[in-house]
Amino acid sequence: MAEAESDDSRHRAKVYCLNSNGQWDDRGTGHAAVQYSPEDEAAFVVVVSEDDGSQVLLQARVHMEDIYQRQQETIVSWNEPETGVDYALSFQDAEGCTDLWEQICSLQGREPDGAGGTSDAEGASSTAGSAGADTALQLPAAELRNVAAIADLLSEVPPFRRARLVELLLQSDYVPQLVRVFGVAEDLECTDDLHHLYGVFKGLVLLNDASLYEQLLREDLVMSVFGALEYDPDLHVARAEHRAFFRSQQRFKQVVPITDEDVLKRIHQNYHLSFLKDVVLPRSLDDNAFAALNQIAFSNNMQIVSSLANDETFLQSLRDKLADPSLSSEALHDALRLLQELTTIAKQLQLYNRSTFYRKFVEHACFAPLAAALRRPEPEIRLSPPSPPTPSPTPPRTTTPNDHPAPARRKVLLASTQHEPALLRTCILSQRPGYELCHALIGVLVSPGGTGEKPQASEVLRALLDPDAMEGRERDEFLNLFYDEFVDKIAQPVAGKVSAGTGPLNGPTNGTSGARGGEGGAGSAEGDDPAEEAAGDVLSARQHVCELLCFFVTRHTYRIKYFILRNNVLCRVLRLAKVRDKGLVLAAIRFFRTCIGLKDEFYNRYIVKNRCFEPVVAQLLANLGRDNLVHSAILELLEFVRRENVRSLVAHLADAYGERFRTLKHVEVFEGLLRRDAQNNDPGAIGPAKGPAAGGPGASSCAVGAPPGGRRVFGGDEEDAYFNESDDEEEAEPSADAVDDRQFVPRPVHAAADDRMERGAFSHEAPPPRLVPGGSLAPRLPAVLEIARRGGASSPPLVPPVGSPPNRSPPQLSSAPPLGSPPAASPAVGPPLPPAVPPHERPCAAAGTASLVPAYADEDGADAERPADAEVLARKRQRLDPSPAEGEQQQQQQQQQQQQQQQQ
Amino acid sequence: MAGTSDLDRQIEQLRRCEYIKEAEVKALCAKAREILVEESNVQRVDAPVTICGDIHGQFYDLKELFKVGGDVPDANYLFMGDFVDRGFYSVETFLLLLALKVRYPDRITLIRGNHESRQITQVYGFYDECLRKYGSVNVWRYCTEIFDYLSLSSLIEDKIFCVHGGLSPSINTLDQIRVIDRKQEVPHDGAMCDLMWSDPEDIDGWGLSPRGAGYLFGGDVVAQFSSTNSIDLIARAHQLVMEGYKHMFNDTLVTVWSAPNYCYRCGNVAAILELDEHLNKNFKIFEAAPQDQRGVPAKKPAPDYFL
Repeated sequence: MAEAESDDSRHRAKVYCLNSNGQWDDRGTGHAAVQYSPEDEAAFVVVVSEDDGSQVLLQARVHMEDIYQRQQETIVSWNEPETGVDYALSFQDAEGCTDLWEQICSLQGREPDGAGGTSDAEGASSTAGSAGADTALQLPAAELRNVAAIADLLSEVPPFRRARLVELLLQSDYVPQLVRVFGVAEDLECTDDLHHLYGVFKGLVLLNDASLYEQLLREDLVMSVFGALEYDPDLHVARAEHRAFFRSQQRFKQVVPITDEDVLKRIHQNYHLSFLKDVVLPRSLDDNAFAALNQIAFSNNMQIVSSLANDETFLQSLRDKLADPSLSSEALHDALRLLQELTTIAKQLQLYNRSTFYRKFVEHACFAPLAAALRRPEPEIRLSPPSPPTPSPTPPRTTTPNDHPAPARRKVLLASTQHEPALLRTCILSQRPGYELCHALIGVLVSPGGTGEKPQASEVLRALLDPDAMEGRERDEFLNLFYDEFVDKIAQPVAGKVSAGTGPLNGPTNGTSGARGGEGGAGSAEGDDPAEEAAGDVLSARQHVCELLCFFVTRHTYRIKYFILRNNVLCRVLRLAKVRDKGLVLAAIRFFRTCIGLKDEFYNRYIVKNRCFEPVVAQLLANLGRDNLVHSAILELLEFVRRENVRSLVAHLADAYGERFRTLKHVEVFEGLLRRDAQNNDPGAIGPAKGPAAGGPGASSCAVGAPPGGRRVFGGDEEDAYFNESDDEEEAEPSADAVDDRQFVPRPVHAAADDRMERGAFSHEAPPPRLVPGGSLAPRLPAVLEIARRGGASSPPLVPPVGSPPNRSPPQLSSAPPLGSPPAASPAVGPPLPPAVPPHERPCAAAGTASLVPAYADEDGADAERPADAEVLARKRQRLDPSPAEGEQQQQQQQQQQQQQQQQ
Repeated sequence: MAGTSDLDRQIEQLRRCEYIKEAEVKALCAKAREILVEESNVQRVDAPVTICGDIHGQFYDLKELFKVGGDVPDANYLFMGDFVDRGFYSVETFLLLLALKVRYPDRITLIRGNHESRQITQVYGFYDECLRKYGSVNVWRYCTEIFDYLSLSSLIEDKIFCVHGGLSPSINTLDQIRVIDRKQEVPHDGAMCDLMWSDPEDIDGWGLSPRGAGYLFGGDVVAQFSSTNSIDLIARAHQLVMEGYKHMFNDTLVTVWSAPNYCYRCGNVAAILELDEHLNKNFKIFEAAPQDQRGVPAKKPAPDYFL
């Protein structure tokens, strides 16, 4: 703001601030101006005291929202959103006020006279005032001799000039003229001018204006725009060949003719747009430009999908194509890819539009042909297309992406399940009695080889079978169907030949006989193993099946339990713990761990009776000296049993492997387990340590768990009773043992943490010297999860792998020593955290540092704007922000937490 | 298809920033898994070794790093995670490091960063890059599966503890790290998450992390941890440092950052930390590869389109 001296009086203004009594306090008189701060990437209204040039009376960020009001001729007022304080600037001179007003308006991209808050029309004065600022801005004529000047002008545009500049550029065919100039320059082959033109067009793109993008992407101009952007002066060696790509490679394929001109135009525009974004200027575009381009693409997509969905003939002919058995592989491939793109786009739509689309989709029975397609035996469809011949000089870049139709199909299913799994479920249910689609899907999962498609099949199944996403009746119907018809097929790769069915067991015979086989190891049961997969496959069928079973175990309570118990599935899976492929060993152990993680005595008794730990302990001993992943996984499992004091298992382990464990001193887990067992057997000995609760609920728990002093947990009678007990559905409630243990802890670790917050241990008041200027570059987990949940990037698995052990030791923020074990041994014996504390978020902490890397507010900024997030954030902040102002809340919070914990 | 000659060819190809075939990725990952599954959650490493921080798919800058620090296998390396995302060449970067790991398992150690995760890579670029370069996400699936096998931390000569993010309130001793089943997606909380997400900060004790995962930890925490486990230094990455590296807490902790001009626009320099056999430290600073040495960003969309 290099204003001349004489301007000073013009911008003289008094700063007022509304006090709590509703009166305006005079904060002093000074010179007001809008200043742009490059560090903060924002403009500020700054008033510098006229008495003391170094004193700033006011520095307020110019907000983009419509919060400013102009009153009379000389006053601008607003309510500062961050502080809620009302400010007013009273100018000595109307012109000064107009200047400031216009600058604010131009920053906001609004017309100063238009919708703004000018209460008395002073049109003449405002145009006069703008003479100082923006009418000086003029575009050189779009001619070859001016390209350097234009490039210069566009190379750095202060934000408050953008709107005006764009306005000028949009006038009078300026962009088309520039395109013609480019044509001339290219004919003349004058490199310097072409380099300038690169700067010009890059500048145009970075202006980040929707109407300007419309122009640049006009079909008659876009190729020349790409052409000009080939001449990047920084690329000394090679010129980018964008246009060549379009000439030689790009093909728009119309599987089903699209007649609507507008749709076609939008389709092409989107392609060009993504090309511009991803290929031409990926390095230069800032986040705002990205967002603007994405916005255009998004609105195009919405038009495209809704138009196509309402086009009866389009969906109909697409369906016919897919169902046509005479279709060549290639044509089928293309049709599927069209469908895939359609679903991919639909996925990005808002809920309403998406539902409309899928309803149409189902109306036209588009799922049905997919089942047939999934089963088409052509190996060339299933597997990768022939890999490209020997590498040419730059082989990979030019190879056609090997988009196989099979994955395409699955992606269609996947995309649909992620948003409308119910539709697919309905479709599956309707295919009675053949259930082609579901069988085909499972066939893909369990077939040997072809590893790339398995995860997708597995994800579809997971989405289909997630009970939380089903309504009551649908849940029963679908899960019954699944456990009657399909579960055995899924389990087959790891469990061999097993039988399905949802009911409880009729007798114990099945389980027992199977158990022998499992225990005996390789024995006869090995016979029903499916064909061995190639060892060491990274993503094998068996691994996926294990993961799916983990998912079932945690989500489907009794059905999967009966299935496992009846068919001795756990023992059979644990045979995998003996194979050479350690990936499978880990998968089997994880399945075991998931079952144990339920702390369900049904499983525990089964485990004890069938000596399921046998192969696991064998693996432990085999990997003892190696400190490898298998070793760690087993330690984690044993540590879980110890930490949670799963009594029956603790007793069993001590009983069966006590001698062995006594010799293992390299980590404290074993010693801890044995000590735990001793404690369980002799509650009196550790009475004091257990605290007041030891006598009460602790004693009652013995009735449910292991009887005190009783090593032989299950006698003959109990064995018989084993399968007959409790046919109720809701066995999944936490075992009494666990409940007791929670009460043993005298003081919740969390309360301790809150103490510290109050004492200011978490203080952020004085922002500590920051290591990271790029703080805002760091991904924020909640933001990421949110994006991933929305399927922001794409469509892969959104849930963390099932069965991941809840690795949730509560942080010991204070020194509450864990009970019943030496301090060093246990990460935490405290209670499990109260139900999944959401990852906390303190956006404010990074704000101070964001400034150092401008143009990169990045994901944080983008996400914070989303309303859904805002709500979540507010909640989290309320919960976790230890700022002094919220001390009171904090206390309430703490009390609530304690109450919660007591209730538990 | 095994054999070192194949592998050497693939390494050469990757060094030219050309990605290898999907089938080769699959085979490479299978071999890598065999090696990684045998590593400890606290992988022991001998000196001399060069410690490197985040790379983030900046392939040509990784080549600069090797120019400055010496090629594998002439020098030993320890990379502290965050190989992928952000840069334009996550695929090539990670596969090159992985191929080197398979070829010279004792010469190069890779530990896991918070970006070696399915969820994070879906948002920050690696997923899209795989999809774009291979036309399907199979390669992403193979790679993310391998991420689960990467070790969580390293211990150099029993004296220098290396981890991507930092410490965890649930972890007092190194043995407690050994009792983590690391074969899983990076969880949202707990010890494993903290190791990859935490940051040091000039505070007392523990603080909430603005990142939404992990914790902030102060000098007293570092002192306690170091004395409990008799280590001299904690080396970590995870935070951009304009100068490439930064000591904290009286030189008991150092942040090493190895992605120069991060995201191609942050303007920072990068550093690696060379340790000789006596654990003497020598930081080497390097800048981004000059423009003319980095090819045109090889982002091409699929040539066919339907919508």
